[in-house]
Parts: sequence; C-alpha cells; structure tokens
Amino acid sequence: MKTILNLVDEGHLWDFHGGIHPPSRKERTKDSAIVPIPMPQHLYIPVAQHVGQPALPIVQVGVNTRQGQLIARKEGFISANVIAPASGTVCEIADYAACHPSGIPTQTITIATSTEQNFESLEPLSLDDDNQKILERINTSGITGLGGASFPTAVKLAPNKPIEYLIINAAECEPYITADDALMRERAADIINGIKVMQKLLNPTRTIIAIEDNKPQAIAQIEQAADDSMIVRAIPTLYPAGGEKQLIEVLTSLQVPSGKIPADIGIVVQNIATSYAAGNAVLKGQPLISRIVTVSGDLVERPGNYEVPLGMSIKDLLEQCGFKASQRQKIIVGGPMMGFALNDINAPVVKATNCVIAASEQELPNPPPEQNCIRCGDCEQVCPAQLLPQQLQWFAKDQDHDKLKQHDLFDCIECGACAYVCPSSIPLVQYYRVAKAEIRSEEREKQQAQRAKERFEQRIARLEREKTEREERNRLAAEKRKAAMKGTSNGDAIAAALARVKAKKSQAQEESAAPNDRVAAAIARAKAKKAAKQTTTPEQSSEDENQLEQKSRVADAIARAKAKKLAAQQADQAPQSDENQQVAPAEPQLSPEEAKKARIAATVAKAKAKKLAAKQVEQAPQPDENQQVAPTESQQSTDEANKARIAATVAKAKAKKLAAQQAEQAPPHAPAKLEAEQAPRTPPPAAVESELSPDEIKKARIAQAVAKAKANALAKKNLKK
Amino acid sequence: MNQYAELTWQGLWKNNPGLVQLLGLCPLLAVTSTLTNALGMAIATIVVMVCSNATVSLIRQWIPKEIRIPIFVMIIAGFVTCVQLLINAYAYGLYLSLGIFLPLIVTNCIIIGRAEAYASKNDLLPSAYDGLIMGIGFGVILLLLGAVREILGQGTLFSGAEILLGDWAKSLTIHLIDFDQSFLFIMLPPGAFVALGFILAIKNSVNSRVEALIEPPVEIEKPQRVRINKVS
Amino acid sequence: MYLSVAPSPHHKGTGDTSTVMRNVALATMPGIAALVYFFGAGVLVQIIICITTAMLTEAAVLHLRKKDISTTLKDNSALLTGLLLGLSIPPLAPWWIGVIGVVFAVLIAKQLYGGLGFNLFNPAMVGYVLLLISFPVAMTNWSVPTELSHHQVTFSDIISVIFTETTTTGMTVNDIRHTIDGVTMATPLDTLKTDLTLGLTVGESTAKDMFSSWAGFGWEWVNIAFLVGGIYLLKIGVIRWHIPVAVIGSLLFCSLLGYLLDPDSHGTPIIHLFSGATMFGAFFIATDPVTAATSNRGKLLFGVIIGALLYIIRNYGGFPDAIAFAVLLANMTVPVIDYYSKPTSYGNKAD
Repeated sequence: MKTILNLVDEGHLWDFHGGIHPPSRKERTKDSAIVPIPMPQHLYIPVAQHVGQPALPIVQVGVNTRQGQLIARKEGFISANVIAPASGTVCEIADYAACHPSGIPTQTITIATSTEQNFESLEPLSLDDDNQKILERINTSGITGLGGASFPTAVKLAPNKPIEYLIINAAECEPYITADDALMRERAADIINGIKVMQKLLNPTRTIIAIEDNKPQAIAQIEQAADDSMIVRAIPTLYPAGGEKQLIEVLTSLQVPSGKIPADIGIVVQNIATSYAAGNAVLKGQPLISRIVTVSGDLVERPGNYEVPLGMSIKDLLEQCGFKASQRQKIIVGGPMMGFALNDINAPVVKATNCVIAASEQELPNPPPEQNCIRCGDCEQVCPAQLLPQQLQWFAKDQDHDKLKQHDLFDCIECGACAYVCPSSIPLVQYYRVAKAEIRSEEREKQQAQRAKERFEQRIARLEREKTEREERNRLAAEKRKAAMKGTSNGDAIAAALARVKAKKSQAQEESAAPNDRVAAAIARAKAKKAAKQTTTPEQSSEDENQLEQKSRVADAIARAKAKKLAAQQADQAPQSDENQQVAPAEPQLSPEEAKKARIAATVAKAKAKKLAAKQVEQAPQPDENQQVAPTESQQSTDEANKARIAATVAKAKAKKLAAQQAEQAPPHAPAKLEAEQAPRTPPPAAVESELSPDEIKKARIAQAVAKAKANALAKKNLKK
Repeated sequence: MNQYAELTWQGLWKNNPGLVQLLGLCPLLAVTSTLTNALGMAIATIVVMVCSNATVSLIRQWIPKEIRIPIFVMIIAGFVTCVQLLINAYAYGLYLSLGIFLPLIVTNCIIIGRAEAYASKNDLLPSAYDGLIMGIGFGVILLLLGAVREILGQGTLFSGAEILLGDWAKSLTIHLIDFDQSFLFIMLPPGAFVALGFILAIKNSVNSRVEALIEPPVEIEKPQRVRINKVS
Repeated sequence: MYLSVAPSPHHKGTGDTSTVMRNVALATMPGIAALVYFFGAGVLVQIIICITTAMLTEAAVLHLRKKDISTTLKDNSALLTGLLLGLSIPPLAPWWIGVIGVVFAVLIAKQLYGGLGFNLFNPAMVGYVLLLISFPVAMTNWSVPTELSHHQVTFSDIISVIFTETTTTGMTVNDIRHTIDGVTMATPLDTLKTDLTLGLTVGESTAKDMFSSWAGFGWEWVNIAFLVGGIYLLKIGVIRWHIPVAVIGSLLFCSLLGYLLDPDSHGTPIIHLFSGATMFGAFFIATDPVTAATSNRGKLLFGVIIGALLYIIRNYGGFPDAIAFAVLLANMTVPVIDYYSKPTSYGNKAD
C-alpha cells in the first residue's frame, strides 16, 4: 500500500474536478525578456495592499525617503511593512485611487522621486542564521504573497505546525500572464535560493515546484538550477490548476478541509515570485520594491514582461509600453478570468499586480446580456470546487442565505470557470461575490446586535443592583434612626409635651411658690448639669450625652416637684419652665409685661436649645464619617447648648425676678404667658432693663444675645450637616 | 358610501368570494360543467346564505364565543338540508345532476366565512343583505364559468335547462358551435381551473380601472420628512 | 477615456443558448426526413403550423409581460417547442390541433411559470398530453405508411385535409387510413396493445404486415434516424450521455425482463426500443435541460425513472405510447432528485 509520499516521489499526479481550457493568449509576451521600467516621476504607495491590518505611515509630508527605507510599519499580527520603492520626497499622504475593483480611494503615500536613486541594501543574512532572524528580515522587507492574494509571507512561513509539503506555485494558469514564466527563465538561481530560505524555515519533508507544461523553457531552467531536495513537476495545463487548493489536490491528492488553511494539513504553498523576493530579502538584503508585471493586450504597442517599481501608476506604465487609447477599452489588472477592470487608470501597481491587460472591444468583447438560466449544468461540470453553481445562482438571486451556506458558498474560489461556460451569459461569480458580502455584513450586524443586547442586559442588572443596595441602605438608616429616637427624644417629646401641660396648669399655683425653693432647685439642677458635663469625656457617644441629659432632667423633675410642693404651700407665682432642661425661674418680682418679655426670651432660648438637642439626637444614628465627627461635635454643641441654656436660664431668672416684683402689682398674665409660649419672638430687652440695674440689665442682655447667637450658630451648623 | 352600497361593492367586486377570496372553489369547479347546473347551485347557495346569515345575526348575542363554529355549522346544515329536500322534491333532475355537491354546500367556506366575519357581529338586515350579495357575487362567477365551459366544451348554452326550470325550458338551448368532438379538457376540472385562472387574470387586469371608478382614490398629502435617522 | 467596467471573468467561452437550441433542432433533421419519407409531407405542414404559432404566442405573451421580444425569441426555445410538438402529432391532424397544443404549451406550460428556465414541466409534452386527453380520436388517427397505403395522397390532399378535414376528393382522414387490405391501421404499438387485449399473443400480432422483421414498418427507420441525430448531439456536446443511456438502458432492462418472464404478452425489447417515440423521447424530449435533473447522478436516476415508467404504462396503462406521460411524471420528481443528488464539494468530504 503506497503512501501519498511514495506516489508523490514517483511523480504521480492527480486530477481536480472540472476545469476549463480558455485560449491562453500568451504568445505575445511568452518569450519576452524582463525589461526594467525607468523610474516615473511619482510613486503612489497604498498602506493597505495586503491581507490584514493596514500599515501605519511613519513618515510625514516633506520628509525625504531613501530607496528601501521603511515608510509604513506593520500593525498587528497579520500585517506587512511598506517600503519606499524610490528615493525622493513624500509629497502627500492622502486618499488616492486604489488598485481595487471597488475603486474606493484609500490612504496612499505619494513620493515624488528624485533623479538620483541611492539604495542601500540591508546586511545579507545566510542560511545558517537563526530562523527568527530570517523571519524578522522577511518581515522588515515587507514581503507579501506576490501571486495575487498578498498574504504577509512571514506569517505564512511561521505556521507552528509540522510541514510535510512545501509547494512552490509556478503554474500561472491564467491566460495572458507570463510574469512568473519570465522570472523562471531568467532568474532561476535566485529563485532556488529563495526556496532554500523557505526550506530552512519550514523544514518540509518534500519540496515540490509545480509548473504548467506550457512553459517548457522555464521548466528546463528550474530543473537545472534546482538541487536534489526539490522536486520539479510539470502539471497539465488546465485552468485553474494554479489555485492553491486545486494545486494541492493535483500534486498530493489531499483536499484542504472547508474552513481550514493548508497549514492545517501540513502543506504550505508559496508563489514562485514570493520565494524570489524572500530570497533577495534574506540573502541579498533587498526589500520588496519592484516586481515583474506582464503588460499585454492589443492596445499596447510593446507588450512584454516588465520590472516595474511598486507604486507606479498604471497610466504611467501603460504609456511606457506604448498604450493607444481606443474608443472603448478595458484595462484589466490581473488575468482575464479573475482580474478586475479598473475604473481609474491612475491606480498604482501594488504587490499583487502581476499583469495589466489593455484590451479593446474586439479582443475582450463585452458579454451579451444575461438570459434565463436553462439549467444545462455545464457550470457544475467545470467547477473546480465541485459546487453546484446553478443552485448557488438561484439562491443568490433569492437571497436565501441559509441555502447558500448549506451549498458551501464560501468554498467558492471565484475562479470564473462557471461564468466562462454559461450559455446564458449569467455573471455567476458576481452573484456569489454579492451574496458573500451580504452574508458577511449580516453576520457582522448580528454580532453587534448580540453585543448591544448583552450590554443592555448588564445595564439593567446593574441598575437593579444599585436600587436594591440603596433601598437596603435606607432601610438600615431608618431602623437605626428609629432605634435612636426610641431611646431618647421620642419619649422625650411626649414627656416634654406632658410636662408643658402640667407646667401650664401648675403655673397658676406656682406663681406664689417660694422663689427661694425654685432658685435652689434651679441651682441644684445647674450643678447637676455641670457635674454631668465634667464627667463626660470628648470620646463619649451622644448616647451617653443623652443619658446625662436624662439624668439632669430627672433631677430637674425632682426639683420641680419639690418646688410644686412649696408652691402649693406658698401659693407663690413664678413662671415654670416647660422644658426639663430649663432651670426654675428665679424669684425676682417683675411687672407683668416684663415678666412676659422675660418669659418670651426664655421660651425662645428654650426652643432653640430644644432644636439643638433634637438635631443632635438625629445626628446620633447617622452612619459613616458623621459618626466619628458627630459625637464630638454634638458633644461640643451640647456643651455649648448647655452653656447657652444656662445663660438663657440666668437671664430668664433675672427677668422673672423683675416680673415677680411686678406681679404683686398686677394680676397674673396667664394669657400673656400663653402668647409668649405660643409665639416666641425676639423680646426687646428694653422692658427688662427698666426694672433692673443698668449693669444687671446689660449683663442679662449680653447673656441673652450671646445665648441667641450661639444657638443660631449651632443651628446653622447642624443644618449644614 | 352608505352601508348597503358598501356591502354591494364588496360582495360583487372587491371581495368577491369566487375571484378574490377564492373560497368555495370545490363546487365552483365541479358543478359548472353546464350553465344549468351552475344556475341551480347558485340559487341553492344564495338561499342558504341569506337564511343562515339572518339566523346567525338574530341569535348572535347568545352564542358563546368558544363554540360558535359548531353552532354556525349546525345552522347552515339545517338550511342546506331544507334546500336539498326541496330540490329533491321539485327538481329531481337537478338533484341527480348536482349529486354530492348539494349537501357539500355546508362546507362551503363562503357561508361559514360570512357568518363568522359579518353576521355574528351585525344586525339582521345588513347581515341578510350581506348574505344575499355575497351569494349573488358567487353566483355570477358560477354562471360565468358555467357558460364558458359549456360553450367551449359542448358548444351549447342552457342545454339541459329543463331539469331546473321545467319542460318549457327545453327550447332554451342555444347551439353556438358545432364540434365533431368536444374539447374534453375544458369539461374536466383541470380545464375549469385554467378557465378560472383566465377569468381571474382578466378581473385583476381591469381591477384598478374599476376601482378608480367606484372608489376614487383620496389624495393624501405626503408628509415631508425633515429629519431622518442615520441609515447604516 | 472610456473605460468599460464589468465583473470578471472577462473572457467568455463559446456556448450560447440559441446555439444549443439550434443544434438540437438541426439534429432532428434525419428524423424528420424519415417521417416525411414514410408518412408523407403532412409532417412538414404540421411543423410549420406549430413553429409559427409558437413564435406568435411567445411574442404576444412577452409583449404582455413587457419584456424584450427579439432577444427572447432569438434564443430559439419557442422554435424548438413548436418543432418537437409538430413532430409528435399525427401528420394529417386538423390545423387547430397543432394550434391549441402549441398555445397551451407556450403560454401555460412555459410563460406562466416564468419563461425559459422556470418551467417545471416539458412544454411540448404538456401540450401533447392536453391534446391527447382532449381530442383522443384526432390524436390517434395516424396515417398509414405510404407504401402500405391504399390511397395515394397528394400534397394538395394533405393541405386540404389539414385545413378542411376532407380531401379534395371528399374523403375524411379516417377513410385514408385504410391499408391495401382494407384494414384501418394505427401505429404498431397501438395495434399490439389492441391485439393483446383481444387475446392474441405477441407473436401472432407481430406477424402482421405492418410489422416488418424488426419493429413496425416505417417506425423502426424513424427511430433509427432519431438515434443518429441523438448521437450527433452527443458528439457535439450539446447533451450529455447520462439521460439517453439511462432511458434506453432501463427500458431495455425492463422489456428484457418482461419478455423473458412472459414472452406472449410482452413485446420484445426490439419492439420497445425501436417503435413508437422511444429514441425521439430519449434523445430530444427527456434531455430538455430545463426540466431534467442537473447533476450527473441525478440525470441517471431521471433517465431510469423515465424508462421504467415508459415500460409500465405501455404494458399496463391505458395508452399505447407513453413517452409524454413518463417524461411529465419524471419532471415532477426532479426537485427531489436534485436535492438528494448534491455532490460533496471540495473540502467537505468528511461530512
């Protein structure tokens, strides 16, 4: 049982399905020698002339370039450098006509060439050098596939898989093209060196050079130059034997599985011109700055194979070859089967341009109008990929993407054999190209939609999460607040209200209560407070503070009770503090008005103190940073509040003294008191002044003002918090 | 257009059961081999349609939504049975000629379709009128197809009219073309299909003109788009 | 400077629908010659009537469809339909037979489906079947081969029969169909079938005058002529060998089987292959590219189905010759055949 390797060694060749025999039309240029083209005035070098990411220009307008210098660096893994093909000045980096069927302008570096071309080659490497170094050199020199696909060679030559066959594609199956033929005839030795470089990099089991048998001279030259490690095979002339997949099938009978690359089955295919360029780059240090282009067609006077600097506009090239415009013509870049018709003759020669055909209508007539498909099946007979072009055409017209994928549309290599044989002149390959583009853009849109959907869902989830967190936070805060309030001012508020009512009730009775007792009670209360204050440390929480306050309130209550008793006994009238915190009024006898005013002042001071206290209590359960600061601040504020209260109480006491003095003269002013309590207003201290000594009045006033001011300030501070 | 005019327009042209809705094709193709048969079927269908539409409209409030179709079928079947017995009694020849297609009027989608679409949602008089006009629309097509097939197939018109109209109608037969051999194709259902197809084509080709006559198109002022989203 | 821009490929092979159709029409010439020799010039008149009607109908329909008339007529497909139908109908049939058949074929079986390439059924055969069903008498009144005929029919007779249904001397078609022995004659296959139903064996039936040593007087030469035309088509590459070989092969196999099992009630393979419209059907009707399967495997299967159906209908069906029915039935199976005979493309062999 012979293996494929054995059969290959024996020279066995296989067939691929289908294939056509178009007239080769190579007679014009087949025997022409390579003629170098003189440097034109301008060169146009697109930065995106290869598969993969476009290169980034590293020169600016006005910079001088040297022939062989890097002018655009590769970007990303699959990309290639762009080398200046001539010395000159960069005159523009802008969109320019592209050498592409779409005709969409692409970013191009325009170089105005100088008359003197100074070229410096890089240091030549040898075959003994490190693989990495060699690959690096190929990379730097901007070598891409010169067979038409422009895939970066350095990437292809580093497959990271074991390679069994290295196939050098010298088939050149398309009509008109003879560029590789000429290269083989004249520069076989350099080509072989280049192949040796590739052999070094890939270390294949076998190297096969495949040449179509319509090039006998080239076969002879290559056979002469090749060494024993290379097998030279002459394959039967059939279009498209030069297609990568078909060539692999002819030489090894293996088929590249759909969707995979040849490297996956251990095969690397390189065009012969690419190996020539790679050899030059590595062993001679010459980057890719020119290539062989076949210029043919009946509208050029001097058809032939020319060595053209990359970037030369096709217009200049055709003029050099003696182009005579006719009324209608087609300028085709590439061969007549797979090449495209230019719509702007200013487009430049790029790395993939292997042929330019200037054809009149007689040479390549326009196809007749498309007719209905008669289902003859000829297209099926010739398809090298064994597809059903007829069905593909029906589905493409129908835009039935599922069926197209089912019928392996993406295995089509767009060779044009089906359209060549179609009796109804249907432009089959164009339908497939359009269908492929539609499917690709549809998939891209689907991916974008998918991503947008994911992002939307994540956003919804995030919003939900934030909402729950916020609610959680608020709930905890509310709970804490409730807990805090329960411990302090909740009961405090109710108790205060009750006390107030009682106070009002008992005021009538206590008017006559012994001032002495009240004063004593007040003093006792004040002392208790002082003591409480002294015992509290700055670090204590407001809870402790409240507890102390509570204690003082208790003390107050006790004092009050005692005072009540005394009042009941003495039936003396003196204004009673409704606030627990307030000290019992002093005994001074004041006029009713004065008493009222004093009471107003006292009430105001009381109210403010109350506000402060309430706010401090609220602040107590607040979280985070407030917690650290608040205790101390509330601590301070309570201190100050206490002071304010004491001052207020003192003032009030003094005022009451006056009032009590006057009370004997006038009946008790319960309504006034009520008014005073209901509507705290800033009392004019004038009333108080009249009865007290100026000093006392002043002191009282000052104390009051101070208390008010402090209370205000604290209130403001707390509000800001 | 008022309601009855609208119903007439719909039933006869715009929504014609035989040409537009394409319902009831089974009797249409099967019994139109002669004009007489077609006429008999037309009359039967019209009678059943009017009666069933009227009945459905009368009791529509009490019909539960979930079982309305069986109820409609029951009503229609009742009326068809009546018609069948009548034809059996008074036009036995026609009864034999129509054969199974007479009871199959029950399954005629036009009748149940109108009951569902119109009679179950509208008052008595409009429903009855709708039944009448739809039946007439269907009948017109029946007669037209019957005439075409009879002329092309046998070269006569009204041959066999006595089975429907009585003995006096024997003289009604018109001989138009004299064939040695009849065009068998048109007598068979495939021919009826093709003939119907041609009638449909003719109707569609003059449709726009007729519609312009009856329902003149209203000039809608086209709004001017002043801001359009970016189209990728 | 005017630059023509077109998608690749810019090179076009020779091969054109109109050339293909024209070649097929040319290949029928030997067959037509044989028919004229044996059955008189009526065949030519019918062909002319049919071709003219076909072109006129197609032009009328294209005008209605607002398509370009001259380009479409130039593809010769209407011409071919008319020609094939004209060959299939009896030479002395009335003129309106041809007209009705062709109008139906071109208008309904071809244009209503969408024109060339879109029809599912072979148009000529659809027309033929319509005529056969609608006018069975006219369609089975085949003329007598001139050598065996009792009456000599002149050209003017032919014209008058076709257009007025009586000869110049007042005879109808039926009258002319008598042989020298005074027996009304039908085609050999028709005779065979009738005789079998009457209880004669095949051997007895084929001993009659109209069966020469082979397969039926006149008809065998017609079939051979069509075979020659078919081989010519194969040679110039207009058709591929798969369908004709499959049809003939399958018919041969079936008839051989039948003959070996029961020689008395089944015709010999030679009769089946060289009588009736076998060769005509195998090379010219079944190979119509629009209605046949596309892949090679599909074509083989298609041909086998036609051959088998042909045999079955001839022996057990109601018609003496069945090429039209067999082809139409096989046309129905083409979409399924196409779907299941899809070849595995390059690189997909694993799945």
